Amino acid sequence: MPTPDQINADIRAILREHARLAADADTLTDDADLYAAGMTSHASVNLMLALEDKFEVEFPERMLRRRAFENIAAIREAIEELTAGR
Amino acid sequence: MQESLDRFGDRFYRRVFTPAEIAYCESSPAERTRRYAARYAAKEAAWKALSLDDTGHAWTAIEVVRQDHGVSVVLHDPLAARALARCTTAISVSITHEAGYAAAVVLAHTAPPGH
Repeated sequence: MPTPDQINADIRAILREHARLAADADTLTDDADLYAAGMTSHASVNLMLALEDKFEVEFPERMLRRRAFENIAAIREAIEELTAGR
Repeated sequence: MQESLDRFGDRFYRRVFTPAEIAYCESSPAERTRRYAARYAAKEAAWKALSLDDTGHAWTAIEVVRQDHGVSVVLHDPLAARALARCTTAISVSITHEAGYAAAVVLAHTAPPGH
């Protein structure tokens, strides 16, 4: 089970590659609004698929909502929920 | 859109588009990316028009269906039921695509509660 810091680092790496943010993902706080930082809805789908690849999970329908991807903390919570028990 | 299709391939199609949408988009190699992009734009516009940001649902629950003149948006359950609960009575959509861009406008028509 990766630590929260490891998950955060992986999320930031994926954000850099897929989210097309106006700012460097490393400069964002965990609760910074990613949509306000320039992430489009389309980019959030790419982000979701890249997260699924990295963490070997599949986001269920109930998580396919704006709030689940709005900041790093929310994404980490989702990943932790989906990988719980491994 | 092309980048997403290249990067994630079948997984992107499967998560975002219905089999009928995929069949139509793939029927024209020259137009496929534009068609996917226009349908994606319509789905996103519908999502926003229906004010469903707070509820999770599959992208495939919103389907762009070809008609004789233009397209329409069809909602599938459970999204259709949610829209009905919000008194959505009809959805109007217009899509356009050219090289390099696609756009969609969606109107969600609603009736006052109790009507």
